Amino acid sequence: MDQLRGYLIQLLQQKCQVDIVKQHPAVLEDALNSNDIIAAYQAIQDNQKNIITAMTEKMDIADIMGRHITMSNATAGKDYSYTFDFVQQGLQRMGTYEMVIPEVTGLSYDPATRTVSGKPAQQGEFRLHLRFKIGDAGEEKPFNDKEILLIVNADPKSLWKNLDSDKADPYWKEDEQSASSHMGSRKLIIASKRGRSHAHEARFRDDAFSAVFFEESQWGVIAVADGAGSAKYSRKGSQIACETVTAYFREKLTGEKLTEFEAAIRDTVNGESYAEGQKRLSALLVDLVGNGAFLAQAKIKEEADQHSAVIKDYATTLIFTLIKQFDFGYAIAAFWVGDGGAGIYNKTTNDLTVLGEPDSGEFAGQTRFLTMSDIFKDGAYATRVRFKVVKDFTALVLMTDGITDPKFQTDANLGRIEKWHELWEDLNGTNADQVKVDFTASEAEAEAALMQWMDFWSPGNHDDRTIAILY
Amino acid sequence: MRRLPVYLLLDTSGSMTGEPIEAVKNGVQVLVSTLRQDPYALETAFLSVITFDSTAQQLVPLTDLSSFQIPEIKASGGTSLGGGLSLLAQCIEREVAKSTAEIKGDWKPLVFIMTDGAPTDNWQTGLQEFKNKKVGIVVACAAGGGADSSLLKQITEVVVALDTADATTIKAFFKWVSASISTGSQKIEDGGKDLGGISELPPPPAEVNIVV
Repeated sequence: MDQLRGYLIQLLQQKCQVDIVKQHPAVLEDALNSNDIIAAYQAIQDNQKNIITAMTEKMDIADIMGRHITMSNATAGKDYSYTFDFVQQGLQRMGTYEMVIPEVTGLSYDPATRTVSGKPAQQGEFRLHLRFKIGDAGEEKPFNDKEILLIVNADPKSLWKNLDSDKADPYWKEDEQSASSHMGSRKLIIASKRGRSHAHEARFRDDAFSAVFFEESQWGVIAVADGAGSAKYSRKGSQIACETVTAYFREKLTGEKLTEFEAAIRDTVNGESYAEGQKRLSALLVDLVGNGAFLAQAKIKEEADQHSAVIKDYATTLIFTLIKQFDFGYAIAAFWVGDGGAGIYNKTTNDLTVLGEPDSGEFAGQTRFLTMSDIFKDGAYATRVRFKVVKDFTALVLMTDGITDPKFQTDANLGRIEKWHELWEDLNGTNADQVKVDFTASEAEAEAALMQWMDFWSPGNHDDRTIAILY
Repeated sequence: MRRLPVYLLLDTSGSMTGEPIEAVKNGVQVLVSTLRQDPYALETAFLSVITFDSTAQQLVPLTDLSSFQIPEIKASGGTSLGGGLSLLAQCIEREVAKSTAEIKGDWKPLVFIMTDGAPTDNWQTGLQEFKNKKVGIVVACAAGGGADSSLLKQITEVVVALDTADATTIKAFFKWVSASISTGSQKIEDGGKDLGGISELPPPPAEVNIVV
């Protein structure tokens, strides 16, 4: 009654400028008991309520429709789960609602946990429909429809194409190549595989390798090389580099030269004439090993000249090692220009000798190549020659950067025994694909397994891969 | 893995209200959906969105393409290009890894700048801060008649102009940006080198004019 009274006083004051309490108190008292007036007042109250309800609902709808609602992205073939937070996302005013998810996504919504989950089968951009009513809006009210974008990324593996390289090309070479053999009492397996980034564009494998064991002298030579991606004939450059080196040592590791070389090694190891032996040995090494590398560069130059090309077109890195088992252990010499890596790894004694230093530039992707003219300038190559005698080793490993980038990541890691332990465990089956290279099996089996291991997945690392393991 | 950082510096001043800002939103959407189809980009490209109106804000920090979400972009206020460049410089400093023996550095970032008007702030300070950062290709885009392409030339060599800031033209620009990022990530995957100039970018579509 008081509310009606107040309302009437205010209404007449505002609309008719009448102070009814003063001017017509009796009329006011009458009105408070008039059924018509009471009913009209009630109707006004009801209508106001209706207006407010309708307006609030519309505002709530507008709020929700205007919300920027995002769900985390999914990946095709991978388990997905996303839980809505209605308060955080401004959806708390929703009453009845349903989440309509395109069937093709393979995802479903659980209202109890407010979670969308499942394993999306295909990639794409899908629109989920959040159909909702505000509060306790009745059945007669229509649903409002808000689209929510769900992005399902492709599995990156599925996007890589594997296109054949042009077999008609004079410099064509197999997309993958492997080998296995003996070097004295040790076994050797090598695998080289075209990178996904090359396969995606029907480009060639630019990596190469070569290995040889001379029964007579018992010396072994292993070479791996990585042709520069930006050089048009680098696949040939890497091949020439490796093959030149093995052919060169076939000739050099014979006769007097060999006797002299081995004598210097023995003297160095025996210690009696250590200083003198070492001096002789380093001179011999720099000469023997350095000349092998120099010849490789010369042969590439020759090839370039014959094809009216420049040596830069054949740009390649090169790592090679010489090894022989003596009664005192293994003598290992190495030459290294460019990126990649080589090392003598001993799992049992925790020993590691990295056979040089990777040439890395200030920025990503920069390195040095065998084909650069300054490599042999002023005896600069001498620092690229290494020699080491070890009693025993688990593996002598040579790799191109297609392996070192994903497995060692940084230059510093190449010198860390833990990373080599990891690589060795990885090769022995501790990997996502559970591919195991069984080093106790036959070389042929190990060779096949190594090739399979080379398929390992490492995002952003899809260069050609080559690895040689003497074990 | 080395990441390819990509920064989008977008003008969201009041003059962009309506069709232009909607077109930019769509453009970013097109950019991201296109790149998602490219395995190189999907594995190496990281995207950040910085907008500037009366102030500058990084709407999305450097995020891998597969997790990237389109941010809410609204237009209002002035054109703080200087503030934008300054924030961009800070983000590059903070987010892009440099190579050391212990760290595998990222590639030099690609930067795409888009504006439709003249700066309303003291932009030279921001420009200097940005110039001090090592970046790969920087493309500045003058969208519509109100933008000053000679001013953008002070930011970068590579300036392109859009005659109008309408949906079709802006979309064409973003398509070209995505093709440029694809090319960038591809060169990188190749073990090659950072992109240098416009000659290494794919040819722009008819709607995008190179300012010489």
